[in-house]
Amino acid sequence: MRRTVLLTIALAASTAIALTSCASGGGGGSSDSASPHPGTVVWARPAAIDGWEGDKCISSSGPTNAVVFDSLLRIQTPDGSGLVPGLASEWSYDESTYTYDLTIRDDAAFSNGDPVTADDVIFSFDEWKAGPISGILYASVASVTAVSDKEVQVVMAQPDTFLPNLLAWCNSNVYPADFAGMSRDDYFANPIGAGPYVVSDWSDPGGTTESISLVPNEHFWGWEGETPAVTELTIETIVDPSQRALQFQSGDIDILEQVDQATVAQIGEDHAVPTLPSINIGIVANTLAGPASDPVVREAISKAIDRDSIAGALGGGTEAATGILPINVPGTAEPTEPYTFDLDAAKDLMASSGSPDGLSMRYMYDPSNADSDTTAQILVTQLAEIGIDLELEPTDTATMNGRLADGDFDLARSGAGAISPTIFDPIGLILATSYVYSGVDATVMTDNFVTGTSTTDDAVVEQAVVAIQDDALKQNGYIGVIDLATNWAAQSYITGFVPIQYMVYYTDKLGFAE
Amino acid sequence: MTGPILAVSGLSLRSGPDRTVVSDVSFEVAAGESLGLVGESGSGKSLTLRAILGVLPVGITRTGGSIVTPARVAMIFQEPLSAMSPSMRAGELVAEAVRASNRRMPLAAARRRALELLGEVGIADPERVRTRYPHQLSGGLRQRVMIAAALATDPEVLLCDEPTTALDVTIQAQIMDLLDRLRTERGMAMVFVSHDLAVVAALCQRIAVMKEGRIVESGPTAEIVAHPTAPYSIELVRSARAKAGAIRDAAAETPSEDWLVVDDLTVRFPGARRRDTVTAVDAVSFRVPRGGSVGIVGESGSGKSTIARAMVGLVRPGSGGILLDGRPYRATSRGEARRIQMVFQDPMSSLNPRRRIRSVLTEVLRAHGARSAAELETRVIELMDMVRLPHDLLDRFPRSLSGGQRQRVSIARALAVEPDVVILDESIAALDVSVQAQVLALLNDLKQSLGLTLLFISHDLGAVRALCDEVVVMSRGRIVERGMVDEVLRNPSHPYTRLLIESEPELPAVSGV
Amino acid sequence: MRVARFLGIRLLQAIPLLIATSALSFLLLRLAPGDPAKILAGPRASEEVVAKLRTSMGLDEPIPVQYWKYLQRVFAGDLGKNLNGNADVADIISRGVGVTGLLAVVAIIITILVAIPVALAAARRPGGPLDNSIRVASVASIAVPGFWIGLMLIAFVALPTKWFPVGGWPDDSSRQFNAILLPAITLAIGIIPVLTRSLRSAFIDVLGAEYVTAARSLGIPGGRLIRRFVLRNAAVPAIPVLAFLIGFVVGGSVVIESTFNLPGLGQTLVQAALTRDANVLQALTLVLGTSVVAIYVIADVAVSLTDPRVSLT
Repeated sequence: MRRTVLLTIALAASTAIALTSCASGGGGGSSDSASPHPGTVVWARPAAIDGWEGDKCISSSGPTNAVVFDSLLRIQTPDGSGLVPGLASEWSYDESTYTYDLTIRDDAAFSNGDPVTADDVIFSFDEWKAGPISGILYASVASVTAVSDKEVQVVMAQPDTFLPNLLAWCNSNVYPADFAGMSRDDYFANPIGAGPYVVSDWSDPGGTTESISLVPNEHFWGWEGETPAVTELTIETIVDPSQRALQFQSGDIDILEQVDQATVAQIGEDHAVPTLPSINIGIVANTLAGPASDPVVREAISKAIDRDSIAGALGGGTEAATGILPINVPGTAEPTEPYTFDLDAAKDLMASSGSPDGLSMRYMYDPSNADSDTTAQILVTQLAEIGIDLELEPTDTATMNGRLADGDFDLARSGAGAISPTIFDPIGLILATSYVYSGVDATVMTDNFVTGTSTTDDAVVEQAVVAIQDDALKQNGYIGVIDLATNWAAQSYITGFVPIQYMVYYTDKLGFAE
Repeated sequence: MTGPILAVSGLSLRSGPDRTVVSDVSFEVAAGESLGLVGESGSGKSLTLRAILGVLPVGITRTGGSIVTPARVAMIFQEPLSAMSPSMRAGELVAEAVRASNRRMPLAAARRRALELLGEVGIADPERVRTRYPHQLSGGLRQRVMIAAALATDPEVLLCDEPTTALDVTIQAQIMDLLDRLRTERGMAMVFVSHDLAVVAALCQRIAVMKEGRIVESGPTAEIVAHPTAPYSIELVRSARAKAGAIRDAAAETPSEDWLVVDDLTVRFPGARRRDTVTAVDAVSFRVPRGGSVGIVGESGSGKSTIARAMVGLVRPGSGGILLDGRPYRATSRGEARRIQMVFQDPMSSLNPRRRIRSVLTEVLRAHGARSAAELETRVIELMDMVRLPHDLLDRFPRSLSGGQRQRVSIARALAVEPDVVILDESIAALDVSVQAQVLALLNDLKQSLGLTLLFISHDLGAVRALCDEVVVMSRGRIVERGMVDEVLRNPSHPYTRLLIESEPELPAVSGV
Repeated sequence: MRVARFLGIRLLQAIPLLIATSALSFLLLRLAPGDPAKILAGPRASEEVVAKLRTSMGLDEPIPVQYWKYLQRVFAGDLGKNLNGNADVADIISRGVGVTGLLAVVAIIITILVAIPVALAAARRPGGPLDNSIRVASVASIAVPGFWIGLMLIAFVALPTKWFPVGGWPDDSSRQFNAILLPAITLAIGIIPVLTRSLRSAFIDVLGAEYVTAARSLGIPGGRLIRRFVLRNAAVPAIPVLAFLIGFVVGGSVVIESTFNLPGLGQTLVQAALTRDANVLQALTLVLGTSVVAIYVIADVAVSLTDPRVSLT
């Protein structure tokens, strides 16, 4: 009787496998020779998009809005050193009147066939300003008027050099006027944009396995009358990093976002597509309370960190930081005296500090990222050399933000990267985040930020930036450690994939190798 | 009805490398004939049956001998509740048995046959019984169902392993009649195992007496009963007669006034709904003089045990009460608890298996005030002497003692606190007949020497006759007859009492013993 | 009818329990560090923006008020939207329930199908070589973490053979069973030992019981004996264990769902907790709480149906 039961089980199991594997069909061949699903590109993200509203896009949807909406201005590829035309074919700035003139491209058109007009741009500006989260970014826009059908004039409330960068951000989606007659909710469930693709299916919106299918927008200006090579673009959310890597290996995914070194090791170096290192990662210190409030200690910590060794350990194009600002961003400049690694000087400083016998400090970081984890481990050994016992506190992001805001920390991982080609973008971020958390005196940074953003004179800009750097290295409220490069990955049969350091890439040039 | 249909020859079984449990057992049974196997617990009679059937328990192996049986052999067991799957209806069980011997029979036909069999074993309402689960049936009905299942295989040999030991005496009589009828109707060979000689003698044509794995004597029933030759057989017969015609010592002095009074006692057990309430004891009153002994007789469900429990505080009476020495007695108050003590039916489960005997006794003594180690030890030895147990048993665990020894320990435990009244709730029912006689003798002596007042609850009239002066007969919560024991048992007035007396199996009277 | 009455009583008892659970989880969420408004606004948002957002989300009202408003919405049938507002919680939940439900059902079926014969084999010769090797294998499968087993299965079965997908949940329902098989097997490997253990004890008891001997003596053949006499009686003590395991599977699916990228309740739960998404978390608490209560009620009914000695009241 036992035998019959075992036999039945074996039979059932093999039948199950046989039947279901016949049904599974697709996914065959090695992942590299040719695409297993020619014509389609599958792009995997670690989290769902925030929706199609420009107002919410900062957290997660940076790269995706451009797929549907394009933007008035684009960032230059591959080095991200400036701005190039997008939906706008030209723009100019009049310093005396703080006014921008934008000309809309002739062949810019929405997916419903309507051309992009000045009215659409004016409507969009109103939308952007009204947004509860990102509206404040457009606060200095005083008025937007139509000069002609294809020309718009934007008057600023004060001298400004920032707007063109802002127009390349994902917040600045160009919407058809009145949402083309749809209600707001309906529109954002099924947006009509002037970008290369249109949403054809959106399953599990906001969920852990969100999947967005897009087909080409026939009226997109960039196709120039030809059929695009990629007839379907799928954006998928896969939360688990091992799953992402495994699906990449099996050929189910073509492009991976935010690839850390562990994943690169798994999928193979040759699939990694690095960008220029342009995210400054460092340590924010609590200068108001706790063991890090002693400025001598902070300086000692800065000198005790061997930045080259950390950069080497992380790999993937990461470099040692010279200051607090990211490199490879237009307008960046090094401090007068960049960071040095001087263990002896660090020890002397510690000896002369208020805690010559050593200290215990907590270091808070998000462990879900392999790079973050590795950095934390290395810091423990490096700081131990000068008598600092670093206690690691791996914490989830939400809690971390709460504790940073409450000042309940000693040291924490922090950083700033640019999402547009101007150094004042990350400077603004630092002002809003690290400098607030650490409690340092922000006067110098704020003053120079204002100076730098109201001038077009490069010399003045450089001076302001250097001043910011020097001040930062004196206070050490935020200590830069490395300049991280974001890594992407793509199958070798994908062509035209050029991600830039601002966490965006443009999809209209994607294609397949022959 | 010629040659034997069942022949066992030189059967030997062992349970370990050097523990022989059955040794060189031989007997033969012809079709339509019944053989009784008598002996104490542990004499190997049950194992012999299982060997015949081929269902020896794990650990027992056959070391010799041969068994010749026909193909169709069936067995009925001692405890039908354990022998029936708790999740299977009675009718289904019998139907399964039917299909076991008729593999191709369709289910519906098997069920019809099951119904027939249930009728054949004397069940009055087979339709109703068919749908019942084992726990919903009375002991007698359960045994009938098991017999029906056994008959389903149309056996030529029926092995009966103490099938009536767990039943009330009236039910026992009915089942014995049933088995006898079936034997003659179907011409089955029957082997009937029991420790009760009276039962076997009433039912079987031939008897084999077993002791310690061997057959010490065998022959026609009348012979064995009238003229036993082996020493053990003689002892067996004597015990059986002793119980039947026991003479107890008369009460030493004129009984004093009412020492223990049960006054209008009523005990109700509430059910889920109003109408499910069971009145176990219904306005019962009787008196026990000091030093006297009263037996309460009745069947399961008559309420006799419930009265005992009410006395020691295990259940609360709905109304009425107990008076001891003129004052109301409440078992829960501190000093009073010791005055009425109880000895239970199953000595195995009423003694803590993890405690040595000494600890059992000292625990009780301590609970009632004894202090020093020396005091405890003296008292403990006294108690062991009182119940005639060797002192070395004090260091043993209950499982190393025999049933009779355990029951004596229970009696010692009850006596430890010097109670006024001792209640014996079916205290000898679980013992072998020979052992029962010994314990009854002990109780008689104690009654004399200590002046104990005894309340003896039993379904066994013979035991009551051996121990008690008066008897109270209960049926369904009410007293139906009462009086001096000899009177009532000689001239019962209530029909129920008569039924009880008639059902009692007795050895055929023989002159000269 | 008794069953219906029993179910009615238990249902009534469940309601205050579920409300208390929901209130407790709401309280814990609000007390946890981490501000949903800040998360939604992103790292670059200024304090005023976050403050305004907080007000618009109703987060600066006292907690009991927030909870009361939430309750009102729920009783009106509105479970709300997720944190960034582009999906209905009801949709997220119903999708998750389907996936997690299928995963749990398949895992439990596999578990039962394997545990019964294994336990039976072990129980026939307790202490024998088969019993001992089963015991060793059991310890191993409980000790090895589920995600490792899952990853190994993906790497060594799915990837090279392509009989199963590496992960994900296909929209096409004909392929969904195939996608759930490896995750279900992974889950089952973790719980089979537990069920086997309790079934083994139950079988040992039952196989040694007198009614089995009696049935054998009546000539009832082996297969029928096992089916009609042994299984049903052994099931009784195993049913509560199984109920517990089902509860565990529903909750423990988190790891497996992440490993295989299934859009089940487990993954949704983790993401919602990390982003402090109150609406989703509350809805999930209700769903999971209800399922656990339901499972135990069903287990009680099952025991009473299997063992006629047990009554429901």
